[in-house]
Amino acid sequence: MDLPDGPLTSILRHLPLESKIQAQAVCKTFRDILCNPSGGSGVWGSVRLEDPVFDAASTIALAGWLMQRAPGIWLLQYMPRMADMQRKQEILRNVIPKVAARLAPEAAFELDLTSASAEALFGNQEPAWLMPHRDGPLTPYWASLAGALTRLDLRFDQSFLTLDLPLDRGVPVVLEQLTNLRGLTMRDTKRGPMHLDRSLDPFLDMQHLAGLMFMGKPAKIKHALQTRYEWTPEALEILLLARIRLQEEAQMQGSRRTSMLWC
Amino acid sequence: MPDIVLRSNDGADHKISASTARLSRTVASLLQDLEASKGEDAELLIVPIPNVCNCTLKKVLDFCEQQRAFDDLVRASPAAQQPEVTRKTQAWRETYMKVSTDELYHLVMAAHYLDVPGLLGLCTDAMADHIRGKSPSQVRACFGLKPNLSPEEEDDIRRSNLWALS
Repeated sequence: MDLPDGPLTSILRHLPLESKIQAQAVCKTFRDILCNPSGGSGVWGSVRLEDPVFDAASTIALAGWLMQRAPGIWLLQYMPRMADMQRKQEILRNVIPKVAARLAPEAAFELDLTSASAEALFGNQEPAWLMPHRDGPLTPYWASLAGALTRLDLRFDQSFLTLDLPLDRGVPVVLEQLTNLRGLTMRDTKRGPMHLDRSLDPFLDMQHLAGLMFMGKPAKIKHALQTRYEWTPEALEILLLARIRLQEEAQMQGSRRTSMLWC
Repeated sequence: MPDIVLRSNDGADHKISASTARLSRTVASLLQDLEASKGEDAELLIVPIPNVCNCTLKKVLDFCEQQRAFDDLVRASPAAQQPEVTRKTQAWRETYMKVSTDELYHLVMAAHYLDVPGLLGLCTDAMADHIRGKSPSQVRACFGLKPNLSPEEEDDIRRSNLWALS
């Protein structure tokens, strides 16, 4: 049975997600249509996510996987649906941040959310967790959305550093501030202040470290810190306890602000 | 334009109204060219359809006739009756699509050649039902396809979709 590409694309477009994924392994023709950047977008564009799907762990993997094939879908279909479900705290807490964190970096830049829409989507929510992208650091853009959502909380035992990022001036401002941080200071209540004087982009460095932490590779963390930051062994041990936590920032002196805490 | 005749590749003639025939974009385009060159008073026009056999052409024209009838009915019905019209349309289509895989294949090819979007969508949806829930090897058997992915390519697909295929 030899079908032209047009009807075959239409057939594949009608398939549910699971069958589309399976169909990639049928033959080269099926795979090419499903994986081709142009044709593939059309095919995957018909994917619909129903509410129960968002409860499944596979949805988290799906989003990143799908984004690599058809980035525009995220903006056109997923985002509005997720926004519709803002009231579902469980989804907000467990799915959206992880989905966001899994987005391919290039795909993240497909998004063009204004500050207002970002707030509408992420604002006023319960604490949520953000995991770094499995294959690399979060992009500044996504981190800025994360900042709009909550605050970045790197826990260093009794040591902490707080950076306030004003949200009311919008995501671009947050982004700018995140990408231009210099001379971060970590205050250790037991040992006194420790200074991180970094020549590299500190934001990306933080994300790199966060990624290593979440992947559970203490040896790599130590190596990264020793080679890139020259931290003391004591600081390294403290850092191994680190974790990332995103929390909603409460009203602060009459205006909403986002704090990034190292504590 | 008066009625026209569509002639299948095995020589069978089907007389239909031009408005129904225009549901096929291929035929509509042809008619448009003919109208421009001959005017409205042309004789009964015979249009050969070389890629479609009599049986399949008849099935395609059944769809076009019904589609046009339903379109007219939708236009003529008050809003309150629209759901009933839609239900009847769906029921008719379900009956219409009760065909063998082989017939379905020929119908898809004809819908594609004649460019009848409604029928093509209906057929490809039905064909997707033949794939839905099947493993890659079952799909290959259903469509008579030969496995032509190398072991490396299959591994690659399996690896990158592990979360879904496991």
